[in-house]
Amino acid sequence: MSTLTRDTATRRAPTPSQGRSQWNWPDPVEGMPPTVSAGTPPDAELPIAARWPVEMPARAWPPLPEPEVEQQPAAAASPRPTPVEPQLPPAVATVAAMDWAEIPAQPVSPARTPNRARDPSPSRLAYRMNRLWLTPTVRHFVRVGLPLLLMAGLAGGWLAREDNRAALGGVVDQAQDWIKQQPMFQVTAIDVQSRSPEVAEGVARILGVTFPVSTWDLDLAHLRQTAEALDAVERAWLQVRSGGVLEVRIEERVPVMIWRNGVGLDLVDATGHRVARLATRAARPDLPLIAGEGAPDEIAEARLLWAAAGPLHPRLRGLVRVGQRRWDMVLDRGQRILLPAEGALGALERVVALDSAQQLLSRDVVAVDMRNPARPTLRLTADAMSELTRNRTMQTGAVN
Amino acid sequence: MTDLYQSQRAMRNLRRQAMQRGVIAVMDIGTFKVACLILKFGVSDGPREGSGVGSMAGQAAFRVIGAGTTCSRGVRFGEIAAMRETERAVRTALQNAQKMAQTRVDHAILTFSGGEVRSYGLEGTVEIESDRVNEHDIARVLDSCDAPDIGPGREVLHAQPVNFLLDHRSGLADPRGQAGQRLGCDMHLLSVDTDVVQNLVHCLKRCDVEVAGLAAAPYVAGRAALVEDEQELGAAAIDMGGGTTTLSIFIKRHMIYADTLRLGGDHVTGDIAKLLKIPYSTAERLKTFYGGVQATGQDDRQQIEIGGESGDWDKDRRTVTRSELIGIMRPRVEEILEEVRARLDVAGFDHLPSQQIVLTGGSSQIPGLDGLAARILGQQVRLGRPIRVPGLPQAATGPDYAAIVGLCQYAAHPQDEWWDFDIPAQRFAAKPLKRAMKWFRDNW
Repeated sequence: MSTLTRDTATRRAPTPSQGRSQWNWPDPVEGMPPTVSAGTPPDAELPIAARWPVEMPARAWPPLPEPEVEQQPAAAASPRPTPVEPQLPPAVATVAAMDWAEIPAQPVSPARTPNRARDPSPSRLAYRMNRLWLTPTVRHFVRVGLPLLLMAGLAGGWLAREDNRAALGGVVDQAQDWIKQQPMFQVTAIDVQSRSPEVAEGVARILGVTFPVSTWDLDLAHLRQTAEALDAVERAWLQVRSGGVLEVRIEERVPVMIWRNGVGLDLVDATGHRVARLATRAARPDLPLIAGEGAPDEIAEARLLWAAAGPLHPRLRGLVRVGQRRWDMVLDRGQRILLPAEGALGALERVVALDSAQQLLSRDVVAVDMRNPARPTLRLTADAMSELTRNRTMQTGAVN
Repeated sequence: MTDLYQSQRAMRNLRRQAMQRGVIAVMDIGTFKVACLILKFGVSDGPREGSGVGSMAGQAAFRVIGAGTTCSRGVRFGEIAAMRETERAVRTALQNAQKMAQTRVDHAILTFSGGEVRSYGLEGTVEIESDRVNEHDIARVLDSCDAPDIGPGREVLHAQPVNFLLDHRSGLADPRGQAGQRLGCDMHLLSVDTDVVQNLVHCLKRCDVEVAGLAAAPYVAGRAALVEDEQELGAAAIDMGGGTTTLSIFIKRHMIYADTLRLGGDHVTGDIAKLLKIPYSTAERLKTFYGGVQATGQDDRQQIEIGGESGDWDKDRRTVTRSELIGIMRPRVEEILEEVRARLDVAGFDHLPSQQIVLTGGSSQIPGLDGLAARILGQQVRLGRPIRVPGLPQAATGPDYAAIVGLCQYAAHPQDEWWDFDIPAQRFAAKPLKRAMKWFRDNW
C-alpha cells in the first residue's frame, strides 16, 4: 500500500536524551517528531520470545551449540591439528537414557506468559452466588447467624457427652477452689468483742466456724442469725477484717430483773426477754425478783411498781403475778400487798403513804388488800384479831 | 393496542415498585460498551434553600451508588447478535455495579439503540363532554388518535402526547381544567422491532433481572445532552455511538422525532483495520489515541508505529503518519454526518425555529469533529456532554454516557405516556365482550 512507509534505519535512531516522549518536538537537531507506537491493546497476546534466555541450564535439552566465546580463546592458545576422526559429541544417546528428573524446569516469568484474552465475565453460577451474597438477609445470616449457630452447635455437641460435662464441672470446681484458697481470702481467727467473756466464749462456740476457712465459704448473714439466736445477745455485727480475722461485735442484753419460774431463776432484761439462767438468788442480790406465770410480759409495770415502793425496799421480797392479771407485792414476815389489775401504781402509792404516816406495815398485818380501791381491807393475824376483839370488849365492857 | 397498554402498565407498576424499594438499575446495552448504573431513590429532597443551587432539573431525587461498564460483546448495530455473549457482558457490568453498590438489584430499566426506531406523528380530536377538560377527556383524546400501521413484528416503545389543542388554541402543555369544546392532541409514537426488544428482555431475564422499563436511546440521550432551553426552543441531539448513530429532535420539552442510522464508530475502526491491515483492537487504539478529522501539516510528520505480530520484520515495523490515519477516518465520519443531515432534512428540521445541533456519544470525541460537523450540519453545532447527576463516577461523565445518564433522568422523571392515562371505559369493555362472544360461538 502506498500510504504505508517502510521503516528505515535513518528514521529509527532516537537519541537517548530524546527518550520516547512525543512532547519534545520539534527537535532542533532532528526536525522530525519521534515515532510513537500504536501500542498493544491490553488483551492482545504478547509476541513469542525470539531468542533463548540468557542463562541456559547446563543440562538443558536439547543441548545447546557450543558457545563461540569459549571456543575462540582455546583455538588461539593451542592450535591443534584437526584429528582424523571426527570428534563425536558425548553420548546423549537415547531419550530413555536421559534423566528427565534432573532437567530443571524453564523459569517462566509472569510477564512473559502470553496474556490470553481472559474472560472477565463471571460465570452464571458465580454471578448468582454474588447476587445471593449481596442479599441482605443471606448476608446477615452468614455473618452473624451462622457463626452463632455453629458455636452453639459445637458447644452443645461437646456438652452432650456425660464425661465432657463432668470434666467441665471438674475444671470449674478446681478453678473455684484455687481462687478460694488464695491467701487474701483466708480467715484464720475469730475475734468476738463482748462485755462479758462468757458470752464471747458462747458465741464463738455457737458459731462453730472451723479455721482456716475461705471468705467465700462464710455466710455472714447466717452466722449473724446464729449469734443472735443466743438469748444473751441482743445484736451482733460480723465483719471479716484484714489479716484474716472474723470480727464479731456483740451487744449483750442487760438483765434488770430475776424471774422465778417453775424451773428455776432466769435473768430477764427490760423487754422481758430471757437473758440467762441464774444459779442462786444470792448471785444477783441487786436485782428485784418477780414470780408467777406471765410475769416477764408485764415487766415494765413491775419496774414502775418496784420504783414506787422505794421506802419499802429493805423489806421487799418480790412481786408475784397473780392469775396473769394483777400483782402482789410480797414483803418479809409474809406480808402481802394485793394490788388491783387497774391502777396498781396508785394503790401502791396509797399503801406506801399509809405506811409512812401510820407505819401500817410494821403492824401485825398479814395482807393489805387494795384490790377494790374504794374499799381497802386489812387482814390481821389471828393474834392481832383476838387482841383487837379483847380491846373492843374492854372498851365497851360488853361480854358478848 | 390494548395488549401494549397492559404490558406497558405492568412495566410501569414494576418500576414504581422498584422505586419504592429504593434501588433500581439502569442499563445501556450498546454496541461498544454495556454500562450499568444503580440508582438509589429517596436519599435526599434536593438542595437546601439558599444554598445557591438551583432546581437541578429534578436529578436530586436519586443518587448513583454503583456503576459498572464493560466492553460489549455479541451486540451489533445495537441489537443482540449473540445472546450468550451479550449475557456475559451484561452480567459483568451488573456484577461490577452491584459490587460497588453493595446491594443487589432485581429491576432494570433498559435503553438500546437498535431495532430500527420509526417515529410517527399522530393526531386526534374529540368533543369534550363537560364544560371543562378533565382527565377523562385527555384519555379519550389520546385514545382517539388514529393508530398508524406500524407494520408486522413491531411494537410501540414510546407514545407521548406532545401538544394539546383546545378549540383554536394550540401549544398547550396541560389543558386540564380549561374551558372549551373541542380538544385535540398531537402524539409522537415511536415503534421498534419486537424481536429486538424481546431479545433484550430475554437476555436480562437470563441474568435474573426483571425489565422494569424500556426507553429508546435517542430519546434519553437527548434528555441528557440538551440543556433546558435547547429542549424548549428546539434542537437535535445526535448520539454517535459505536454501532449506531441516533438522532432525536426536541421542541417544547418533547421529543418529536427520532431515528437511528446503522453507522457508527465501529465502522471507522473497521476502516482503519482493513486499510492498515491491523487487528481491530489496535485499530481502536489508534483511533482513540491518534484519530482526528482535520489533518494539519504537523500530522504529516507524526509517525505512528502500527506494529504487528506476524513475525515478518517488514510487516511488524510499519509506520503510518497521522494524516494518513485522518485520511482514513474522515470519509467515514463525513458519511455518517451526511446521513444524519439527510435524516434531519427528511424530518423537516430546517423548519424549526432553532437549528441547534448537539453532538454527543462516544464517537463525538474525535478531535475536530465539531468543525467538520459545522460544515455539514450547519453553524449551530456544539459538542454536548450529559448533565451531571449526583454520585456519578468521574469516568462516566463523558459524552459516551449520555444515553445512560438520560435514562437515570427518565427513571426519576418519566414523561407522560399514552398509557399513563386511564383507558376509556367503552374501549376497555370491548375486549372481554368480544372474548365472550368468541367463546359463545366456539362452544355452540
